[in-house]
Amino acid sequence: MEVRRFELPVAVTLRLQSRSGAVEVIAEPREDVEVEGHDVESLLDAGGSTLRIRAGRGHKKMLVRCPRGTDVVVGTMSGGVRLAGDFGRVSVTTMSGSIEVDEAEEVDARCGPGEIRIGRCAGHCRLSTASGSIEAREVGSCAVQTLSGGVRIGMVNGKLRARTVSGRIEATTRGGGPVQVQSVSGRVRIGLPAGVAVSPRFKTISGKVRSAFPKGDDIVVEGMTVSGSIELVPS
Amino acid sequence: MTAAAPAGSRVIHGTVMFTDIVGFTEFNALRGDDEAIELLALQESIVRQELSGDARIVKQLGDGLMLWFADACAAIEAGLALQERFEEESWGSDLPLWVRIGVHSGQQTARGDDLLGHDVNVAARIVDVANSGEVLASGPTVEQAEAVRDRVAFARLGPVVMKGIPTPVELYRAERK
Repeated sequence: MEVRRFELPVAVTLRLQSRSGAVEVIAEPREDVEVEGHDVESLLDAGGSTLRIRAGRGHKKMLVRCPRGTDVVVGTMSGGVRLAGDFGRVSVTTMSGSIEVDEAEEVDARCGPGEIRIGRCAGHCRLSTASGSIEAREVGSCAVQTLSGGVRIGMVNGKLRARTVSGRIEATTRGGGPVQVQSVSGRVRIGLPAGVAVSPRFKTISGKVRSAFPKGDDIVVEGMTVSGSIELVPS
Repeated sequence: MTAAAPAGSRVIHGTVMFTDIVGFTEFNALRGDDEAIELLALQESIVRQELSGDARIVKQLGDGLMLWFADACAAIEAGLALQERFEEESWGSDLPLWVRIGVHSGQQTARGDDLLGHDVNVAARIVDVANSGEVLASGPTVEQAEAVRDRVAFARLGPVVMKGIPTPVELYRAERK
């Protein structure tokens, strides 16, 4: 297994790409970047701000160790992506792999049938899947989309925007921002702090909309469903 | 502008945009053909209102459209304007006009009114990566979009590895500043 080390004068963005092999990045207390794997090319941009790491077709797994807070961009076709530790801005796109991120400042994660797991995202979290499931423990603000996959967001501290075609969405919010949910036939269940008053703006064709809250101005909730259901419940 | 091309075709350069309505199949199954056609008509009507200059609808593709723009800046501006209109209509009507948009600039081969070629295929793949409400643009499009940078931000997503496309494509999410 080849190992390369990069002593970097400034904080860099890591840009990793792999067609089918797995990608694992570990953010830990260190100053350099270490890249481990067969058939892996690394190139520091002329400006020194971006380290490009590219896996050849023969590689099975790429392991990268980097300083905490590093910005990471990853693209794979089918390889799974795991980011362990705490990162800066993270963007991961995979056509059919799964995505797992422990902690980051911002996240953009999108995949086809794969699963997405996010631990904690302090800022904005943009998550989308076709048929895989999405789980996030705690996010700042969140925009989540699914076609048929299920979504569960443990806690949203700010704005929440959720859209589903037929998948089920469950999320809990602290009420720190407006809530906007849309569904074709999927079920949406939003947990809000007990005792808040809600300003609801709901539209449905043949679906069901239910709110367990008195009307008021604490939280604005916009919802639209064709034939699915939208439910606001105390968390 | 033109280069050698097979008889009956000609090579052009411009920006191709694909639109795709997310959830159209489910909506059609739930609400029937009449409402589904109404949704398609609404998309096309909005697109026609927003197109100007040399831009044109190349063809309809099921629940999406293929568009062509002579200029990358015009394509980006149109994409963002379209998403704003789609969102307004989606909330203002009972129709889930949830559209994703992919844009790529390069070389196309015109054959009659149709456009073919690798760069057209790349644009078609980009829309598969987009979420509804988004405009995703390739690196070549963003490089040609210098004139809109004072009002449009491009958030880097790439490199994105796409099926059938040998080289990863740098993708950016276009957003109003």
